[in-house]
Amino acid sequence: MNPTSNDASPFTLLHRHLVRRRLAQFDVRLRVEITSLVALIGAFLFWQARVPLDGVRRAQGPLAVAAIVAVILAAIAVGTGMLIAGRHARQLRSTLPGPAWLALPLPAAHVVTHAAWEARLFAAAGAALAPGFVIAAIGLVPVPLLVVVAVAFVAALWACAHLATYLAERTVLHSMRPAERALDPALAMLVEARATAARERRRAAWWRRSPAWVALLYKDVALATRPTRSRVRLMAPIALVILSCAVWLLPPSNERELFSVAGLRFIAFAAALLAATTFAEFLVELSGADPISVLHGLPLGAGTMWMSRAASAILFAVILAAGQAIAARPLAPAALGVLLVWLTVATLAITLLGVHYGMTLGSAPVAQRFLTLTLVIAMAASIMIPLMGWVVLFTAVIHSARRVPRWARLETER
Amino acid sequence: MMQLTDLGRSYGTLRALDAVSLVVNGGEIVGLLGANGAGKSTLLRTAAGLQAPDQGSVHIAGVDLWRDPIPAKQRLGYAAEEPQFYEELSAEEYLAFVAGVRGLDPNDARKRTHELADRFGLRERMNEPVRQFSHGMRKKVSFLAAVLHRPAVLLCDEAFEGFDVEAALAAKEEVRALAAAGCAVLFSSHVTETIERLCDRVVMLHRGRVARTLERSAWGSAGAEVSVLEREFLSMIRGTPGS
Repeated sequence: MNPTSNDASPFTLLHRHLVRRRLAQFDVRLRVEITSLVALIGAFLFWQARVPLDGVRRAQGPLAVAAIVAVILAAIAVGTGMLIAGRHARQLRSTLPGPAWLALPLPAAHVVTHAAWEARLFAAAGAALAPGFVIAAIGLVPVPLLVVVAVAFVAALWACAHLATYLAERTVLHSMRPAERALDPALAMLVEARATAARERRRAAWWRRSPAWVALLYKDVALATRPTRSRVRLMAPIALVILSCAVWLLPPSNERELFSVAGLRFIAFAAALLAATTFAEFLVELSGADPISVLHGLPLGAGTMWMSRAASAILFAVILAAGQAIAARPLAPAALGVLLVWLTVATLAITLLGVHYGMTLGSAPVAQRFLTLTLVIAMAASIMIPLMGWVVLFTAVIHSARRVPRWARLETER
Repeated sequence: MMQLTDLGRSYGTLRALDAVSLVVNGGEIVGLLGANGAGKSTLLRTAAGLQAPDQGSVHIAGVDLWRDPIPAKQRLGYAAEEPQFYEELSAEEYLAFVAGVRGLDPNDARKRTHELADRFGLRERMNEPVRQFSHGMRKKVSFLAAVLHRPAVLLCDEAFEGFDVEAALAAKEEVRALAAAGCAVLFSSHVTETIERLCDRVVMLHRGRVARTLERSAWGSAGAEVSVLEREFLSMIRGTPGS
C-alpha cells in the first residue's frame, strides 16, 4: 500500500508542514517544560536502573548488562508498537482528520499511508524512554557494544512502528463485512470508517427533576464514560487508586525497609497523592471540554458550576479514603486515622485546586500547566522545608478559590 | 421585553458595537440586518450574556443581564450562528441536560422536545451523538434548546441557516407562536426574504451602529406565507398531491 515516491510528494510536503506547524504551536515555555519533563523521566529511569545494573555487572559481567538493557529497550519498542497499532486501528475506524479525503483525486492507499505516518509519530514517546537506560549502562558496558545496542533499539523501534501500522490495517480489513472486502483494501477501510462513524446510537435520555449542579454532574459522568479525552484522563486515577490499595496486599517484611509497614504506608500515600493529582487533571479536562457558549447562555452561576465539580472531588476523596480504610489493615488504628486524615485533606486540596484552575483559566492546557507548576512548587517546598509544601498547596487553593467568581466573565471570544 | 441601552464593544482598535440602543417589545419580532462584520453577532452574543459589553446595559424582561445574570438567562433563549455542544451527548441527552439546568418539569420538557423533534424532522436521530450531525441538524438542535422553555426573549443568530424547507417553516411557525404568546424576538439573518416574511420591524446595523429602522409598513406584504416551491416540496415529502 505504499505510494511511489513521486505520487507521495504532496504528502511529503504535507508531513513537513504538519511537523513544522505542530512544533510552532509549542511556545518557548512549553518547549522548556517538555524538555525538562523528558530529562526528569530520563533521570528517574537512570536512578532506578543504575544501581541494579551495577550489581549485575559485578555478578555476571558487562555482557549480561548489555543483554538486560537490550531486553528493556526491546520491550519499550514492542510496547510503543502496540500503542501505535491501537492508535492506527482506532483512527481507521473513525473519520480521518483532515479534508474530505475520499473526495480528492488520490489513491486511497496514500491516505491510509498518511494515517499510518500520523500514528507512527507516537514512536517519539517511546524513544524518550530509552536514553535513561542507555546512559545508566555507560561505564558498565563497553562503548562500542552500547552503541550497537542503541542503534539496534532505533532500528527495532522503526520496525515495530511500521509492523504495528501494518498489523492494524490487516486487523481492520479482517473485521470488515464481505461486501466491503471486495473493494480495494485501502478504499474499503476509508469507506468503512465513514460507515462506522455514522452508526453510533445512545440509549434514551434520562429526564428527571434535579438541581442544576446535579444535571451538570450527571452530564460529567456521561462524558467520562464515553470515548472522550476526559475518559482517557480518568484511567490514570482509577489505576492509581487501585495501586494505592493493592500495596497493602503485599506481606509486610521487616527485612526490607521498603516493604515494612512504614514503607508500604509511604507507597500507598504517594500513590494516593498521584491519584489525586491525576483526578485533578481529569477535572481540568472536563472544564476544558465545557463549551462556553453553552454554559454561559444558560442560567448557571459560578457557585453551581463549582458545586458540581467539587462534588466529584469530594466523592473521589471519599472513595480513596474508604479504599485505604478497608485495605490498610496492617496499620494500627491510630496510624490509620492519621493516614486517612492526611490523605483526605491532601486529596481534597489537590482536586479542588484542579476544579478552581479548570473553571477560572478557561483553557485546559493552561490550567494543566498551572496545576503542574503549583504541585511541583509545593513538592519542592516540602523537600526544602518540612511541611512547607502543604502551606504552598493550601495557599494556592485559597488564592485560586478567590478567582472562581470570574468564571461568569469568561467569554467565547475575546 | 428586551432593552439594550448604549451598548458598546471593541475588539482591540475595532469598534464592533458603538452605542447601540434598541428595544424589542413583548410579542414583537425584530429583524437585524447588516453586512458581514456589521456587528450583528457581537450584538446578539452580548445580549445573550456570552461576552461582556465595554459599556451600556442589557435588560431581559426588566432584569439587568450583567448584574443579575441567572434570573435574566432563565427568561432568555439563544440560538447561535455556530452552535457548540457536548459532542458525545445525544441530541435528546443534550436537551434533557438543558432542561435540567433550567429546572423545567421533566415530563413537560420531554413532551415538548419530542413534539419539536417531530416537527423539525429530528425524531429518528435524537439518540445519536451530536458529533455525527450535519451543520443543519446541529442548528436545529441549537434552536430547539433555545425555544424549549418558551423564553420571554428569543435571540436568533442566523438561526434558520442550513434548515431544510420543512424545518424552516416549522421554525417560522414556532417563532410566530412564541411572539403571539408575548415573547420578544430579535432575529438576525442575511436572507432578506425571511426577515420580510417574519419580522414586524427591521433594524439595520452598519459598522456597529444602528443605521436605520424600518417598520413592516415600509416594505408591505411579502407575498404568500408558503411559496409555490415550498408547497410543492412539502407535498412531495408528505405524499400529498401538489398544485
